[in-house]
Amino acid sequence: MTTALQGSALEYIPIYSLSLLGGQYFFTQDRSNFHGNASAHAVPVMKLDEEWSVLPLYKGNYQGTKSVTDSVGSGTLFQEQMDHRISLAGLYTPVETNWKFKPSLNYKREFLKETRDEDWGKGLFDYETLGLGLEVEKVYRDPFSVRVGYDFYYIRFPNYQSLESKSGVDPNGNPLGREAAGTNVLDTMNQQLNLSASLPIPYDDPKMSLQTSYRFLWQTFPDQPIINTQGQPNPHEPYKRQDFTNNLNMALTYPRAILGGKARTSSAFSTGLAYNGSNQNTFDAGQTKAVMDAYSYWSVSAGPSVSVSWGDERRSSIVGLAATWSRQNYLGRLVQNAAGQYGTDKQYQDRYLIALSYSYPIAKNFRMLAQTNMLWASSNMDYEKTYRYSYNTANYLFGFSYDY
Amino acid sequence: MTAPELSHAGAKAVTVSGEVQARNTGSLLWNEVKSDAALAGGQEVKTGRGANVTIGFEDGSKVELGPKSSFVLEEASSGEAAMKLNLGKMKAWVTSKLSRRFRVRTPTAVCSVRGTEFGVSVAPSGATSVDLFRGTLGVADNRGNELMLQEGQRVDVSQQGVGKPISISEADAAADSRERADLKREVGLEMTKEQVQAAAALEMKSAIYQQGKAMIDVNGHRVRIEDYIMLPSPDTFKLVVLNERVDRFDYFYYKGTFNQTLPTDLTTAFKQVPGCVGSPCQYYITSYEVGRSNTQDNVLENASGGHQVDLNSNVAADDDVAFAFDPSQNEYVDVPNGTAFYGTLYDTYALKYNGIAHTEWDVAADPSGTPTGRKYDPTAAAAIAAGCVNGSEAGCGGLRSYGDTDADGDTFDHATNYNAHNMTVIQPSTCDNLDGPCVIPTEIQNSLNQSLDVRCTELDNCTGYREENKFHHIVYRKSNTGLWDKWDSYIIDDEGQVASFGDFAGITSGADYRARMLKWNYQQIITASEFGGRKIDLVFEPKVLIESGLIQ
Repeated sequence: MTTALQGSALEYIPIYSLSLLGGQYFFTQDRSNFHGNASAHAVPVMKLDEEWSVLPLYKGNYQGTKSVTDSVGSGTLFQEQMDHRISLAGLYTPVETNWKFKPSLNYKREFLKETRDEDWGKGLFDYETLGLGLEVEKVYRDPFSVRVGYDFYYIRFPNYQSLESKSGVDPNGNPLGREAAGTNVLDTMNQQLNLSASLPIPYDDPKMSLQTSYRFLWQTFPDQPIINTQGQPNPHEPYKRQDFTNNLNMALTYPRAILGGKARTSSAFSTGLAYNGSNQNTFDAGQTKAVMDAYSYWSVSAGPSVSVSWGDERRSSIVGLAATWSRQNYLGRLVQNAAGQYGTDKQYQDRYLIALSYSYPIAKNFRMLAQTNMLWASSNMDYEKTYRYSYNTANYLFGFSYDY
Repeated sequence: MTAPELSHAGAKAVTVSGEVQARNTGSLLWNEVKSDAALAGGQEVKTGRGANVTIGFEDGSKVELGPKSSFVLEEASSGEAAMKLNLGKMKAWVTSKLSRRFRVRTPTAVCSVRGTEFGVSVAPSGATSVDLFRGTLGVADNRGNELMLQEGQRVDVSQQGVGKPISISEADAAADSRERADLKREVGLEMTKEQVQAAAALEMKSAIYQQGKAMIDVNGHRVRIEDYIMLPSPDTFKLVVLNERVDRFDYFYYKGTFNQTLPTDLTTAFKQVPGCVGSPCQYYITSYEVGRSNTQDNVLENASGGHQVDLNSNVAADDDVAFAFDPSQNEYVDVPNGTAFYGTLYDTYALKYNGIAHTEWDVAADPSGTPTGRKYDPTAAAAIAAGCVNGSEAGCGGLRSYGDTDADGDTFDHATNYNAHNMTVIQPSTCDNLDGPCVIPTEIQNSLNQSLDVRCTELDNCTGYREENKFHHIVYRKSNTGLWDKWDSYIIDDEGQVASFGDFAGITSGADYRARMLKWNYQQIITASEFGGRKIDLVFEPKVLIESGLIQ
């Protein structure tokens, strides 16, 4: 029985999730040792009143078994990753409207150990992000809505400074580094605009839903000068790297009951289109070759997915299967043969991903999970001395999750 | 601000929390309501964010008004208590002894009660939800439809009329579930931001890998690599390779000065550095300096007096070139027999460890150091007699960039111009027969012209392959004066795995071998008598050595 009017005092609504999984990662003919993955998040939502809620979020993740979509550079088989993220998001829903206003502030630190001599916190590619944003959502027909958001975030790699910036002088006292070389060359300032909408199809009697989103990301690299055709960094201040990325994604979902309502399916088909424009070039000193417009690319992806669930809706068994094809075409990056010689064609890579998952409810909020992912990548880039472009990889994971 | 003047009070504010205000009918002025303030019929009461007020009636009945609610006390006489909830929430406890009517209106519903505990909430649309906790309650809509709500039931009333009563507990559970689902969705959206940010970071990391700037060395340590070209003067370039590990920093550089100003397209000059087939090179290096250092110790090679010589038509047969690296094809090509091949020979050369020369020569000076104008010639006496000046004359040419440190294969006048400081390459006394006479496949021996190389399974301080079936090769030299140097070389992939002979299977020539080598990395660990137990540990692409002429 309710004994007091809700909203008259601070109300906590806890949301928790925990998953513990173990498995292995396979790369071509090699396989990793058995490792565990763990992730958890806790959100003690504070409902201040009918209009305002605050979502303080902590999310932690440890990954001992790699994802098949992780990069395949050094430390392909041995890799440990850990990240911690905290955020504070507000949720303001004025009672007079169906609008939602969501200011947020977030910080994340990711630790990555790729070699056995790297300690936590000393990983070369450790990074941290600090961001703030505002999203506005209009629920025009529950649950369908339109969202507009802006985010600003800073990505910093605290352990990655260019070697050139700390190279000093040679034994004869001459500098080893170029005068205009940058130091924190990976750090970026990011501004992002998001537009998304969910649409009922058909509108009057929806049988399907269409999720669409567009994202525009403007990245500036304050300490990465533009490289010219002779491999020299441009010393003039305005000439720093900038990237502009556009992403357009759509997903059509069709949920339906089958077997007289004893089971449910959700079928979807997703597509994505991305274009990145960059003003940066690279210079391959080993081959004495300038590669102009080295970072610009476009990519396209598409694929179906289906999930089948049966049993009580709140405690159902779920099988999921998804397949995705994607292609990335670089606009300026040239192919190389196996010996490194540059050709005239531009690089591309095709990726085929299959994901299969199964979850079974073993108690209230408690599920057993099993999943496997397989990825095939192929490219016209034959120079693979430092990076693999054509390969196949897979992983499997199983374990438990608790979701409250 | 003071409490309003309230006449013939039938009700009063029993407890007040937060911002609670009231005004009389028709008044525009809101006044603060304090505890025990009297309220009369016709007054409107509103509560602010987080505020609430409990209003008590004479018979003991009471009403609690929730935050951000608007409420009109329509009647508070001895015969009737009537109120209208315009917006927000209220809860009422109505005593059963009340002999008068107790009525709550909303924009869409009317509740008439006796001896009841119930709650009412009104949405901005006017939609009303009525919970009955105890007793009985009549709920009517604006169309005159009425139902009797039972204890523990909830009914929603909208402009369309009164709905079907449902259990409060089930309704609360469903509402909680919806609210939780909404909040989980918000949490999910917040996490989506993280995925986008992580993808941006991953993209930068992948670019570093793709450029070969991070890899694992033979000892399983991460080594960062940066290589770039500097242009210190119009005719000079400096190729720099930097290595960083967790606890050390090593570097390599090759500084070369060309015979003329470098072109805008550097490849035009660089592709001629290994030599030119058929005619002299337009661009060639006249002097160079190669440095290797761990920032404390260094190995410096200096050469000067570079000049072009047709290596295939001088008197020294051992420097003939049968295959050559062609940068335009990025692979080795055959040089047909009898075809001219112009390479660069240097008149002076020095290899020093922390400033101590282990090998050096100067053919341009006589033993007293006086310049003679001579150009380097392996058959020194004949060349001098022939007056070698520009190196292209018959009988001039021979030893090239690195220095034939074991003096094998040339007839250079060591007594006067060459000082190897009696450095001797230490070979194992016997071939290790563990896996046969010599474990190195014959074709590799042939292609490397290293038939003397054998495995040194027991000794580090000897020259040969250190590991069975692996490209781990040691060159160890020492002198009778106590000097020594050791070059411990590995061919490794980007995971630090040492190449096996099997990785080079099927090789038919030295050109094949070197072409295969381009797909791997070099790791050189250099130690010397001058280093005090320290080492220089470098990883770089063999292409760097090939293009700079350090590997022919």
